[in-house]
Amino acid sequence: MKIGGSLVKVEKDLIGIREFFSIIVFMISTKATDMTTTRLFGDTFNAAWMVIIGSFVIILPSIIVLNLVLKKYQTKNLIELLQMAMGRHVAFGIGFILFIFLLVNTSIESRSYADQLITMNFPKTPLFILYTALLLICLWGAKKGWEALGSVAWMVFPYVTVALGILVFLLAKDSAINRLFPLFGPGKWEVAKSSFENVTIYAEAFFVSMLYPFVKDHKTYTRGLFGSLVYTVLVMVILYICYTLVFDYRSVGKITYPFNEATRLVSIGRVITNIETFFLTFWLLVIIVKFAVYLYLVSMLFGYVFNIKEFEHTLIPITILVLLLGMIPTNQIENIFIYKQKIIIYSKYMLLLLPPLLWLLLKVKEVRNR
Amino acid sequence: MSYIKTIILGLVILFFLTGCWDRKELEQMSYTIAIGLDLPDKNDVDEKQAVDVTFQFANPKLNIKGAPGQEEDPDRNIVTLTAPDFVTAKNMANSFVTRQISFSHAKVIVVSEELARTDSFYRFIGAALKEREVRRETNIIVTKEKASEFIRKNKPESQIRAHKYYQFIIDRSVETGLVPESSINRLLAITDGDADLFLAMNGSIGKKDNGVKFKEEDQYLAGSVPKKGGNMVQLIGSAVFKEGKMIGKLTGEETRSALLLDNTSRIEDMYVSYQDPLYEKYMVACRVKKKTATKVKVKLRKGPPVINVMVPIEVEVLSAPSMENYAENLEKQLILKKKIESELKENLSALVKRTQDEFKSEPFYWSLYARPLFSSVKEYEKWDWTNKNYPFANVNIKVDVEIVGFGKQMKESEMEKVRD
Repeated sequence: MKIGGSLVKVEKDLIGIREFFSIIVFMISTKATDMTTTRLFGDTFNAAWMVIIGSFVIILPSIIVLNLVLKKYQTKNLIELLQMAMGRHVAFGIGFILFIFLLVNTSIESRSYADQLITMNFPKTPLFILYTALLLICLWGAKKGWEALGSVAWMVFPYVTVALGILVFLLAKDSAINRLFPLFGPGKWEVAKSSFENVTIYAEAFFVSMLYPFVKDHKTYTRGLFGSLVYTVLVMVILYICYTLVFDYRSVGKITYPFNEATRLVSIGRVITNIETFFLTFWLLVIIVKFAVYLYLVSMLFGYVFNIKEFEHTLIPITILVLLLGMIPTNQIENIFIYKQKIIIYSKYMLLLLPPLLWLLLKVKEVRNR
Repeated sequence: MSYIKTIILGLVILFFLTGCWDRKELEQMSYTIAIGLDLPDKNDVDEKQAVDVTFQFANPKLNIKGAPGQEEDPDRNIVTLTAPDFVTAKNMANSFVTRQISFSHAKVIVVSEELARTDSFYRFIGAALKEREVRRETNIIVTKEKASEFIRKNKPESQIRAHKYYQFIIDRSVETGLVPESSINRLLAITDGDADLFLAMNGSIGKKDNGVKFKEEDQYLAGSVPKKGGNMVQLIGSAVFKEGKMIGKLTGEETRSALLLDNTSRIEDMYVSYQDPLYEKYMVACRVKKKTATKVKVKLRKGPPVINVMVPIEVEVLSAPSMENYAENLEKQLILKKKIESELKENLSALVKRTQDEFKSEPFYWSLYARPLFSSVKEYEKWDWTNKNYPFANVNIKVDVEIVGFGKQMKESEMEKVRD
C-alpha cells in the first residue's frame, strides 16, 4: 500500500456478471435484516412479505424502461443521459437532488446499522467510535475501487448464502406455518398501499445504473440486474416469512431487529446455544461490502454532477460528510421513523417517474432530430 | 521503510490487544443460570413497582476430575434482592457480587404463582425483553412456593452443575410431555395474538416423603408426586396463562392431553398406563406417540363453529402384567385398541370441556386453524376466536390408535404354568 495520492487509480475496471449480481443482492437483500423489517411489520403484520413482492412489481416497469434507455445509449451513464435529455442545467438540478438523496440515505442507513450493532452486540461502545470504525472499513474497501468490491462481494457470497440457509433451516423448528394467516394481514388495500409507499426498497436498482459503463456489456448488465433482483426478492420473502412464522403477527412488529432476535433464538441441537456471533460475522461482511459500494456510488454521483473526473479522490470528504450527517439523529427511532420516512415519501415519485420521463424526452428529441 | 512498518504494525496490534469497550474476560463475568421473581414482602405492588429477584450463578470454577467433589454453597451462588425490576437488579447485586452479571446464559425464569397471578408478571417479562441479554428461548417455570425458595431448595442429584440441571430436566420433561415447552417467545406470541392460552411449566417443592395417595402416573400436580429421597424439586403439570395472567393449573395428565392436541409442541417419549380391558385390576403400560400432526378443522357456520379434531396415535405395548397375550390374538388387540381409544378420547374431551367452561379459551393453539378462514386481521380479530367462539364451539374429537409394537418380548409367560 502506498501512502498519498497514488493510492487512487483512475482506470475504469469492468466487472462480470457474478460480481455485479452479488453486489446488488448484498445491497438490497440486507433490507430484510435491518429496520426496514420493523417498518413493514408495523404496517402490514404478517403480509409484509407481500409488500416485498408488491413493491418489486410496482417498480419493475420503470427499471425495465431505464434499462431500455441505457441499452440505446451504451457507454453512457445516468447523468450523461439526463444531460442529453434535459440540457445541462436541469440535469444538474436533478443530479444534485439525486446526490443529496443518496448521501442522506447512505448516512441514515449506515447510522441505523451502527445503532443496530450497538443495541445488540456492543452496548458499551460509544456510537461515534463504532460508527467511525464501520465507515473507515467501508472507506478502505471503497478506495480499492469498483472491481475489488465486486470480487469481495462474489468471494463472500457463497459463505453468506450457506449461513443464511443454516439460519432458515434452524428457524424451522420454532415456526408454525399457520401463523402466516390471515393471508392479507391488514387487508388487500393496505398491502397494496404499503407496496406503493415502499418502492424505495429497490432504489439501489436505479443507482447502479450509474455503473452501467463499468459492466462488461449490456447483456451482462441486464442479466445481472434482473437475475439479482429476482434472487433478492426471493431471499427477502423467505426471511420475512421466517420472522412471521417464528414470532407471530402481533409480536413481530414489536421487535426492533427481527434478524438479530432470530439469530439469538436458534441453537444447534441442545448443547450449542447462543450462536448469534456466527451469523453476525457474515452479516458484518455483507454490511461492509454494502456500505463500501454506497460510499463509492455517492462519490461517483458527486463526481458526475460536479464534473470531477477523478471522483475517487472525493471518497474521504464524502465519508466524513456521511459520518457527520449520520451523527445528527438522537436515536434510532428518530433516524428511521422520521428522517427515513420522509425520504421514502418524497423519493418514490422520482424513482417511479424519472425513467419513463427520460425515455419520453429522449424519444421526442430523436424524432425531432430526424 | 519496512522497519517503520513493523513498528506501526506492532503499535496497532498493541492497541487492539488492550481491547475496546465491550471486551470482557470470562473471569469478569458471572453468568446467571436461573432468575427467580417473587412479589416482595415489604412493598405493596399496587403502589409502587418492585420485585424480589433471585439470581443463581454458574460456578465458574473448573470441575476437575479426581479433585474432591465440592458442594456448591447456595449462600454464595444464590442471592435474593428487592429491586424495581430484574434488569436493574443486575447492577444492584453488584454491591456484593464481584463480577459483571450476565443474563445471556439464563436457562429459566422462575416465577412464583403469587406473582404470576398479578398483572405485574407480564409487565416485568415483556418489558425486560428490551434488555439485549434477555433471550426469547428462556423457559418460564411457575412455582407454588416462592421462586427464591424453589431455587434454593433445588439440589440436583447426579450432576452438580446448575445449568445442566435446568437444561436436562427441561428437555427431558418436555420429551415425556409432563410439562409443556414454555419459552418467552411463545408467551409473547400467544399473549400478543390474544387468542389462546399459554402453558408454563409448573414446579413445586415436594416434601422428602409425602404421603399422598397413589394415583396413575401422570395425574399429579407439581409437588405431590409420591416419592422418597431424590431432589425435592418437581416439575409436572402446567400453569395456565390467559392474557399474561395465570388463571389455573393443569395436572400432568391434562398437560399431556393438551400437548397431544397441540401441533406446535412435540412429545417424544410418553409412557402411559391404561387399564387392561380384560382384567380390571391390571394396567397395560404403553409408549404413546403422535403418528402425524393432529388434524384440526374449524368450520364456520351460523352460531358457534364446529371443530373437528383427529388425533392419530401410535401405541407400543411395553408391559402387560396381566400376562395376556395381546400380540398373538388379533381380537384381543382390537379390544385393547378400542379401550385405549375410548380412554384417550375421554381424557381429551374432558380437558376440552374444562377449558371451555373454566378458562373460556384453549391452550392448544387452535386459533391457528381458524386464521386461514379469514383474509384480513381485522375480520379475524373482530370475529374473536377466544371470547365469542371457542367457548361455545362444538368440538368433535376422534382418536385413531394404531398398535405398532409389542416390545422385545412378544409372548408373556403363562401364569398358570409357571405356578404349576
